[in-house]
Amino acid sequence: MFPTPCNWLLRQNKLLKFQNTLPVLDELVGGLHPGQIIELCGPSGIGKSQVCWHLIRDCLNAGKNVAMISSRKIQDYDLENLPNLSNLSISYVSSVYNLLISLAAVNSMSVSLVVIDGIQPLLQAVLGSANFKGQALLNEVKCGIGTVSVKSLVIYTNGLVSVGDGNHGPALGRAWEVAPSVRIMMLRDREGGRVMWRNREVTARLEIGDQGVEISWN
Amino acid sequence: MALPITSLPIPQSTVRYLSSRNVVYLSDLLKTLPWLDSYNEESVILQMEELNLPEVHRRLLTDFLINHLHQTAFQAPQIGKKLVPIITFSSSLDSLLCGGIFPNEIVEFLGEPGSGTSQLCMQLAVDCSIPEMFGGRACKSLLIDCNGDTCNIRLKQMAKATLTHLNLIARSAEEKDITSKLTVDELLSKVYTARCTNYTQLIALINTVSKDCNYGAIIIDALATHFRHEFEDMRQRTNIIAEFSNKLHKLCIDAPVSLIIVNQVRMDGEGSIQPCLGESWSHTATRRIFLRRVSTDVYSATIMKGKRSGETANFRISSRGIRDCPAH
Repeated sequence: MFPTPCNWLLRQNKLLKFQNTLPVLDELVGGLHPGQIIELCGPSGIGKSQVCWHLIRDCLNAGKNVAMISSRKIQDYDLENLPNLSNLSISYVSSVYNLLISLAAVNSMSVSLVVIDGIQPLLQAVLGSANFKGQALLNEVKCGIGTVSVKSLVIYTNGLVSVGDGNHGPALGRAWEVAPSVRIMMLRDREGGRVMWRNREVTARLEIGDQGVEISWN
Repeated sequence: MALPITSLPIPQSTVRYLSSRNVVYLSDLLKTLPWLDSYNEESVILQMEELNLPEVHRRLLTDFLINHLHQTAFQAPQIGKKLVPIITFSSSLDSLLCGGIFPNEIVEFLGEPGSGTSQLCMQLAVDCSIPEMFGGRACKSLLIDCNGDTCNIRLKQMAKATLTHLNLIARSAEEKDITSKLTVDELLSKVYTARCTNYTQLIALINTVSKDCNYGAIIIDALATHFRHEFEDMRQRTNIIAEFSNKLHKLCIDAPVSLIIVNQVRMDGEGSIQPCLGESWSHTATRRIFLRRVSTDVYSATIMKGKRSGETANFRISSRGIRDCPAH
């Protein structure tokens, strides 16, 4: 990347930023704009993909481009009621190497939002191998996401693992903890509702409806 | 982004050869990266030939470029034609599943022993072979049996009951024509069963099936059986399960097959019921359904993840198979 003047970068940011209908999430993560890498981690079935689809719909409504990298097939019922489907590009990946190639390809597209759904199974398969290649690939993915995030907002979903004493933490280990700029943990509280935490301090409540998600302060 | 060649899945000998020729990034190798213009297989082959590499390296690189780049190409989605689900023969369960089990999805059924999971597997395997005229998928199904619960006699019993049902609901002359020619033998000829006695057999079976999958549904009965007790090294187990989950996803993306996986449950420290195989596995399925036995032949299904999460439906298991509960 060449040295670029700041005002040019800010102008480009303004062009790629899109209006969203989740003001609470906007404040929770410190702004939904290019340059941010947001990780949504939570147990299975809590609504990480639902939040992603809500943001995709907002971005398509604003007429901007979206790139989605998914490790699972996207069903037709996720795609109905989405406007401007031609602005959405989907790439299916089934291994880390595919993910790296897709990230390299996204760099040459100009998209406002990049969603990587289900990053955990891709990376988990190479971690813990006997040599250090797993960590090296993890680093490659981090760098790849970082490069993409210069021009776009990147959101990806991760899973949870238990870290002893009944506590939960993000999957993929210590080396991955520094990968996102903001990590949002999604958990179920005692009554069964869904809460989103940032840094274990700030919380918001999540409700999933037919039309999308609703996030409100706790 | 500059993709270093060390991050590509090519053998070390090729990487060493390329570094000896001062190639560090993928962009050093190819003048125009195939994802910049519209993807063109011929241009990749031509560029590789111009480079004058030794035959073995050239072939490996060309294969890799064509396979991986083709798989991960970005495309705009198209909403396809209407997908036909696999029904379960219980209308309350079908409406809970929004119609049944659709192609290209992975559905996980959980339950304690005796909660109807194996019976449901056998019913779904038989339901795949229902002819298209009656709203079925008329495809082959593969039932992978890991713990010996599949009974061929029960499959035949269910197929007989299905045929009787089809004969009863046939109205038009075409439909009656089809059902008169249909036999139990023909229905069962589309149901394939395979028995696996350890996890390597299971993985080998999925590998073979993935190469050219012409099944409409693959049902794995009790995935947890081989993973629960055989592993001393938990990390190895997590890695194997993660790799397996990647293979299953790839299978679903490439072919219009429904994957139905039955998992077992365990008690955790606080006495609550948790699915087996850990948190990392729980992200694989797109829908998860918990089965429970309510009374002698009444069972309930609750959706834990997916559309209509939290809702429950009851069904009955009779000698004919899975059916609705009689309305009181």
